[in-house]
Amino acid sequence: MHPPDEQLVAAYLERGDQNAFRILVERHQERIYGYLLGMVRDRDLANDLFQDTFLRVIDAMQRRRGSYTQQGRWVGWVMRIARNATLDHLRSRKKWQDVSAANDEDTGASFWDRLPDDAPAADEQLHRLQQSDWLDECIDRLPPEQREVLLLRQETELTFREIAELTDVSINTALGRMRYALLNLRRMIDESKKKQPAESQAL
Amino acid sequence: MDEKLHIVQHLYGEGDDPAELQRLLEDDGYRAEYEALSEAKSYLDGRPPARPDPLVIDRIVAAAAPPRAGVIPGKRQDRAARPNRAARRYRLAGALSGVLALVLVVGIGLNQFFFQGMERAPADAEVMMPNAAPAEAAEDEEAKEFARRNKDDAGEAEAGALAPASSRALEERLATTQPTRQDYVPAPPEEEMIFDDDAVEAEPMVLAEPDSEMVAGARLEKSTAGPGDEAAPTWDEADDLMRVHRRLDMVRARSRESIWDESAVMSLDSLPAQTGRALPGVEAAGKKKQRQQ
Repeated sequence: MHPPDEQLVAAYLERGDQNAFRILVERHQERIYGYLLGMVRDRDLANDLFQDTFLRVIDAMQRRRGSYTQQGRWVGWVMRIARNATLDHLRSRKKWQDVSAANDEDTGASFWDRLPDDAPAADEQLHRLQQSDWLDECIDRLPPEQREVLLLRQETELTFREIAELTDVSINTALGRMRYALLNLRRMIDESKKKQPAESQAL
Repeated sequence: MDEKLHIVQHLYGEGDDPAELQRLLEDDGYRAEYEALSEAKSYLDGRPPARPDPLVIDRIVAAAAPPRAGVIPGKRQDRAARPNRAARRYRLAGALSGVLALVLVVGIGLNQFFFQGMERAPADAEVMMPNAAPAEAAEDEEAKEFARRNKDDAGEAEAGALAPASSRALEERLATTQPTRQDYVPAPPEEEMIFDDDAVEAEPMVLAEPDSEMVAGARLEKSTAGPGDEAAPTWDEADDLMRVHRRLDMVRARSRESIWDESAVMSLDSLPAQTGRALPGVEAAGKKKQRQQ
């Protein structure tokens, strides 16, 4: 039986149990690292952000300061720190632009119009279709706000309500972004499937 | 909430009512939407999980050690404190300056002790082996010199009439200011008086007025002093008394010489004959000799 997060957190805070903290990190490493890797698309950078995130977590827990009040899910609090670290990095590289919810729903602009038009060639797509990182590249082509919601929900398994609180938007906005992200991926997959038979017939 | 958004919620197992999903899927449009979203989600679910580098996990766990006991490998460690050479140099310079100042003070002290001690050696010898006779001779010489100078001054100022008058006045003033014997403070030893000769020579010859004040001060000092202090006067008081004594002696000597210098026999020419009145029975020797011839 695995101890819950709260029990491990208490063991670390009260007794300085490093092993409890290790269990926590290893338990949530895939979620947090998956989100970080999906956001920055660089393993080394994702490792740095992962370490920076947990150093901030340790500092806040040891000094009993910051936003952690032992209320709510520990992983949700850690994800907030991870997101802030990621956004700090992306803003420093000017790869992040905050988009209001009105862009998605109120302006009536087509979601497909916002997709970047830098699709790779068909043969290249076919080749990547069989590779594990092809989907990651599709995710990377998503608009940032959609990519973030998709990664948060898919990788970290936060609920849409938690995602809405974390990203400071309404739950409808979070759900809408997720819907558009999935439809976008579906379209990219269909296009790849359509190009693949056409190219194979041409050969 | 839009029905399509409910489909997303149900897709991720967050729908409140499973019957709602069944109702939505009866609609062809919602069914197609659900199938498209489910296909995309199936791709995402098939992604292999990504994990961080195990070394990163080790660093994080090491950093999670209790404060002050753990080292954060991921963070750049502070280097060890480097010895402050400048501070050490300042300390060395301060110590050297202190030693030099001490050596300088000791050197000056030794210099004063040895060299000035050598310069004082003859005077100390006089102190150690006093010879009263030369001192007394010097005092006599000084008194005579003073008397001679006073006589010359008196001669310049119509000597015959003024000098005796001033001598008498001096004697009267001395009589009023001269302390009695019981008021005297014991004089310092003879060898200590040797050093006062210079002061006496340098002192201008002022007569009785300042002396009377000194004597009065000495009287006051004696009257206020306790019985134990009577036998041990201070040096300053002794100097003053000695000076008073010497001046009194000099004034007496001068007055004596002035009296002695008056001619015992007065010339007849200076007698009242000048006034036209002849004394009865007194006749000039020249006239008497002419008459006998």
